[in-house]
Amino acid sequence: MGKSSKIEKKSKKDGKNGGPKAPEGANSGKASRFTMSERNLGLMQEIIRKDPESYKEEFLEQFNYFVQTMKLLHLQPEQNRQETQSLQDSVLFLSGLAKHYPKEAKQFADSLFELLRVQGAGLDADVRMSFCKALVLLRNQDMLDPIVLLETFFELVKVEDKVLRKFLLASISAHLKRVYHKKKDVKMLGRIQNLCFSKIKDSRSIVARAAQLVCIDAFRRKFWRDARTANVIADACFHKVPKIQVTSLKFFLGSENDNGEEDDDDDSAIDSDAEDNKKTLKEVMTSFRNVKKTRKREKNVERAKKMISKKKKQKKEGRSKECNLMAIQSLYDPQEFTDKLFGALESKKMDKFEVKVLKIALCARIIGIHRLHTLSFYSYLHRFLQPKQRDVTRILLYAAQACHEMVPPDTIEQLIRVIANNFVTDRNSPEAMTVGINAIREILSNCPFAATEELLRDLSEYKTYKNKNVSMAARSLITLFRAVNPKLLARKDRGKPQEKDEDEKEYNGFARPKVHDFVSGAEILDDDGDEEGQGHLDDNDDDESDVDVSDVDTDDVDTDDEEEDVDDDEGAPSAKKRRVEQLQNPEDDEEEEVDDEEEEEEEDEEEEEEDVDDEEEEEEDVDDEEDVEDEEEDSEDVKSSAAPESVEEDPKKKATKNSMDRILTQEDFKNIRAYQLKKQLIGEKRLKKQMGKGRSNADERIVEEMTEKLEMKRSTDGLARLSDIEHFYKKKRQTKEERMADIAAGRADEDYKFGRPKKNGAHVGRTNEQNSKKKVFAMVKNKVRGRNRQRSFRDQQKSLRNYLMRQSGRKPGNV
Amino acid sequence: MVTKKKARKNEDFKKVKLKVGKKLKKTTTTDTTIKAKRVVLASQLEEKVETDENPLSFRGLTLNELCKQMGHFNSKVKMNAIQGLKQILTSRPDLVNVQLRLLVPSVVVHVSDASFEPPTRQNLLNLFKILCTASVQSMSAHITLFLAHVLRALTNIVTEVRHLALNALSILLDRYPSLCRNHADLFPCFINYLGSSKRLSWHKAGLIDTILNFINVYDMNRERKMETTELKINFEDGKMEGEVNTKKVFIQNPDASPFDFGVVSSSKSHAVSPFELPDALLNLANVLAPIISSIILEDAGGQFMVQGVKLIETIVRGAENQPNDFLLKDFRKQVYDSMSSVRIAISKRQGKSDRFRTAASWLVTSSDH
Repeated sequence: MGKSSKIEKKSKKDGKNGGPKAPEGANSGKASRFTMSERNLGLMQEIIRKDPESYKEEFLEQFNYFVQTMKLLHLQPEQNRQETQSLQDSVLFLSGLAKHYPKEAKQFADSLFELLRVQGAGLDADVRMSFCKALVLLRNQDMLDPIVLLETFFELVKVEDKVLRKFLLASISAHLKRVYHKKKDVKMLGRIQNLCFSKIKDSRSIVARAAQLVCIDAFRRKFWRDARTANVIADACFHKVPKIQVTSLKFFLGSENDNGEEDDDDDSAIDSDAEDNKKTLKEVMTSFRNVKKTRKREKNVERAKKMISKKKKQKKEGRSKECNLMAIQSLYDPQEFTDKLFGALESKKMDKFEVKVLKIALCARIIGIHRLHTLSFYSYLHRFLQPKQRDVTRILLYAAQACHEMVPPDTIEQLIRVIANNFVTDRNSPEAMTVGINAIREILSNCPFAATEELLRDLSEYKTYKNKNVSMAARSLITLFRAVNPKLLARKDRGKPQEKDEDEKEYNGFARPKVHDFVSGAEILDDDGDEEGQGHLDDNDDDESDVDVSDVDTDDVDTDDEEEDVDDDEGAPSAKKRRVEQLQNPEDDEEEEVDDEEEEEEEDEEEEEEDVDDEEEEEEDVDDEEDVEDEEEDSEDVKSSAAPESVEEDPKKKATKNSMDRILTQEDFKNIRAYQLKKQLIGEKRLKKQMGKGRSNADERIVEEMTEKLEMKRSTDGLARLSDIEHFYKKKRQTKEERMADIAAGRADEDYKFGRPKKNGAHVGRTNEQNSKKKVFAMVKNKVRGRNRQRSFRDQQKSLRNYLMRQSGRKPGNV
Repeated sequence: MVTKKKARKNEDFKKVKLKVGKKLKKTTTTDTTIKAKRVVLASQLEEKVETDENPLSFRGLTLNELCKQMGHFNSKVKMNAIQGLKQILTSRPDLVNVQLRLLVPSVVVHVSDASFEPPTRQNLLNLFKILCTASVQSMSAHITLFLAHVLRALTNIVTEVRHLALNALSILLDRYPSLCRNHADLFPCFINYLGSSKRLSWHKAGLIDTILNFINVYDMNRERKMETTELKINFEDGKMEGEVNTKKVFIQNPDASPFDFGVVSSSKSHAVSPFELPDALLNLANVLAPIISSIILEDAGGQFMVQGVKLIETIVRGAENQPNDFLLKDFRKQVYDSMSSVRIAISKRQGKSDRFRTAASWLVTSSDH
């Protein structure tokens, strides 16, 4: 007891002195090496980093503090804010210096791991986050086994903390990027992949979802673009949790609006070009920092920032919208997969409608792409094909996508009949009829043999229907069959047969192949070989829109398909030929399948790297030119006599000239192809005759659209688009809301235009007078009314006189 | 102009303006909807009554509220809360034992609070003292948390915090030696503190006393009574031969809490004191040597004479009576080497070093090792 009283005395003494006790250099035994940095961990970190050996003691002190704190955390998981702050600081400090002290780093990481594993859920959110960040830092310095870290992260995903989950996913994919790009460590990538695949099968759904998201992200960003990943994601389509199913389904389906897809790609290509030219955000900011600040410059910078961020966002969104053709193509067993998916669709009635639609969509797309036989799928669709059905246009689209040449015609016929009965009757609304006819057209364009004469004639009678939309839809159906199988149409609908084109014959005689000295169809291109490609395109567009084919449907001569097929040109790129064959004799399936596979492969390459594709195109061009050179002697006379006025009489000469004088671009070939398709559809004579007339009408539009569509199908996956089905010739009248929305969209950056009142800003909506009231009085003192007004002597006299008269009781004003 | 009268007359025959897209209200229906609003009574304004179980501070706050305020971010509020707690607990000392569960977590956290002013820190220390009036039994459940906080504060980067922690530790060591002895982390942590460059300098109040307290805690009586009971457990029959009396185990050591098992908590079985382990003793000797030597050399007034002698004696005794010295090779020699600075200091200090010399006779003579 005596001792304790002594201590108390001591501490009392302490208390007396305690007041003014300065933070004296308490370690007077040993002079402090960095008094300045004593309380500043960041500064201390810098000092230690410069000479880790000699400052080990300081590091160890901090480390001890950390160890003690961890012990405390074990005892008492909840702590208040201030303590967590100091803990976070010390964790940051230690993780920054860990690489200099490997032994301590190991212990540090282990204790972090242990705590996260044992009481990860109970920890404070900030502390947990700082631990994770420290671990990521250690991993980036290769002080940790990434697999162990990933496992811990997948465990942590189950903690209900949105920010943390986001961080974990981001850090995992950042790590993948690092391994993929910087280290090229294929082994490690494989190990991580295996881990993720095992986690996707985890019983806890949130962990499975995290793993799934990682896989999808890695597939999209090409870290793991392989069949294995695609199939693992495909397996998740049958997960018991709907959310995971939906994510997988959406991954395979890509964007929602299929039509926007191509445009997106184009946009991004243009964007990337534009961005190369434009400045980055950093450049904009630095240049702004170094100039005089004016209000206008400020505005410009703001606007530039907005634009840049908008573009970034678009790019990000665009990436997720890509349809994963490759993923679908790399399925190991598409038939089994579709059967299973369809089985799930049929059996489980409890699905939400949206999920059901997604499943139908994926089924249809896989059937369409892989040409599968899942025949009960079509009859399953029957029940949805009602005009009142929700999202019926989508379901019609999926029906069209699921149809391909290998499906037995009777199955398709049933489907068409259901659509015709439910949609295309007079009691339905014109919209429903239009949609129905459009859908039938799409289906028949995929499998033309399902068409019966009776049905087709019935449908073609709608071409004179009073509603323009319906009649145009019916006409487009007629136009399709004019190209595909005119015999099924009524005689008057068949159109004029195409004349034999002598130029495009493949053989001159027996065993005497004709060698072309020009690209057939090149005559439609402009003369000026030196002009820019863009210029050509514009001109050609004009030409095409000038074509007038008003009375096509009144012609009544057969088109000669077989001849046309044989006559098909050799000079045009082989791809075009393939497509035409596919259009006209779809019965020879084997050949076609091979072709299609080739096509798809080409597309993949296109997706992978466009440069290679361009090179290929150029090679093609070169080939063409070589052909041309071979035949130069023969066509010399033709060349010499080529005259500008004889263009119309002599397309051959023009074509020869065009194909010899210049290198044909991608755009040129596209135009040629479009022209030739059009020629097939309405006949060359008429096309030529109508050139130059400045009027366009509906039929011409149909032809245009048809050619465009055929073109597009050839160039992409060959599936129908939603816009084909929802296509209305006449646009519906907009409602007021839609109009207002359009106006608002147009007004977005109106504020920058001249000659209009400002809408945003500090002084908008106030008069100058109102503004002046807000000013400091000293500023406006001299402008106070009356003070600054110089009255003339006479005015002063007048007012004085009035004043005096009023004072004296007389009425003022009478002089 | 429409007069008031005319307007009133026309009220019933007003022309109703029709608008596209807007429904007319029917005039014949009655609006039967009811709007209800919740009435919230503020309990904050409730009158508080002082009772025996629920005493109030001068400012009219209960113990519970004060403990909540200890977690407030404003240091002024915390300071007031400390004062309030002090006041309540001094007026009602019986409450300390009862409310320890509430008090320890909320108060002890602030041992490492760097935002306090020096006077507040002094107040906090006084509050600790009051908390330590609790009986050993009631404190035994909370000592682990208490010590964890204090030991953490000992490693804090801020000097004042470390100082406060040292004082708090001193109080604890003095008041609850038996509980402290069972804490596994205490010994290495304190040694660590003494060895670090950031410890208090030797002549500052508190350090030497704390060390002595610390040594007192571990310097237990050598005659350990080990009662062995033999038990035979036959796993085949599930029978146990021999008798064991668990009650007896706890009666032997009245300080030990019946719930304190070495396996469960971080406390160590108190059969072995660190003094009986050669590593620990060697560490202690290493750490204490510079302190002792600076006492010998620099203590001109001789205030610390007694304490210094005691320290030397402790180490010498510990080294001589080491029962487990076979665990470490050349244990005695190492202790001897570690104290070389002390020896040099004694030889340098001619005058009053007699007592030191006698105390350190073992060190001087055993140079034969």
